[in-house]
Amino acid sequence: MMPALLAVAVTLLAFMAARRLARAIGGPAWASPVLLAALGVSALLWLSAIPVPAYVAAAAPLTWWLKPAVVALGALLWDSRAELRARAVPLLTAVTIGLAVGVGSALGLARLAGLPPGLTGAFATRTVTTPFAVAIHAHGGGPVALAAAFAVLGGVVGTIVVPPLLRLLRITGPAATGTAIGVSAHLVGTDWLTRRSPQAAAFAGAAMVIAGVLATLALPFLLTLRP
Amino acid sequence: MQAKGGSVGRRLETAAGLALMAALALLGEQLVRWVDLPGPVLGLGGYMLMLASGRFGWTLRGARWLAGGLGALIVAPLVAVGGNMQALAGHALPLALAFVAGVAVTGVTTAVVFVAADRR
Repeated sequence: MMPALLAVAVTLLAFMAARRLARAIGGPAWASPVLLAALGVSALLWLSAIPVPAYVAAAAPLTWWLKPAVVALGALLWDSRAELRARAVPLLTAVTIGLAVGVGSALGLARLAGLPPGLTGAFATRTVTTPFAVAIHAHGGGPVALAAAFAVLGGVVGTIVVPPLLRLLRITGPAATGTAIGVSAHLVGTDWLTRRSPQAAAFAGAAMVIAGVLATLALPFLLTLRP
Repeated sequence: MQAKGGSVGRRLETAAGLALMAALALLGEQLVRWVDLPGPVLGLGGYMLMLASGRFGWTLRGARWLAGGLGALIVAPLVAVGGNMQALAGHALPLALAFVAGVAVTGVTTAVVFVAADRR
């Protein structure tokens, strides 16, 4: 059994170290502090022969804060209310259609790839940021850990893949770029944008929260329609 | 409520903001009995109404602090996937392809729709 205090301390220290490392190497898209910290903790658990379930159970007091974190994301919406007011129609239209395409493509691709239903449900929520994905699956009895992991991996993949594609299409405006990153790469992408373009990051933050709320309303229903 | 007394005041303000976030999430979980939505999302709705009232601006420091450190909360669930590696192993390649394709389509569609809607 692993003491909760040790698990929480190890997690926080690993995250702080990963954030420093990511900054030190210039914050490339692939160097997500969350991913680096998870790799570091996994390596530590392997070296010390501590079973992953024991660590996850011990870190529960930290993970519990994902619920208040959903509430705290309201600050991002509040902080970007000026951008929201000025470009509410394109923002809401793009987020709604982007989310629909994201969920639709996730369900379609999961079916094409022959993924089992448990994986498909978790894969569908990779279109929203982790706290919302966790909230959706915790509420509906889905695979919470897998959904959280898919949401983070979706963020990392989106941060690597989407910006070059947008440059290729000559879409360089901060509003369009930020909204696209917010919907496709959510938290990881928004964090990455914060260091590059505060204006784009404001749109990304707003898009991420709006997409999360819309998904919370629509996804449980859509997942029941899944064949 | 305004932060007074420098860093101690700011820390108290952050702690009070965090306590409010936790209270709203817990309250949302109680409301789930009547409204079939995840509790924290109900808490988010309540928080937006509180901010709009203009009397809870002091909670933003705590909310920004928690949102800024969100990554640390996701580490353990991500490590937990290590326990699910066997379930994922048989689907690694299709999953990876579906990830890249799905994320690319989502990002590009969102940006194109934004640009089109902004021109109108």
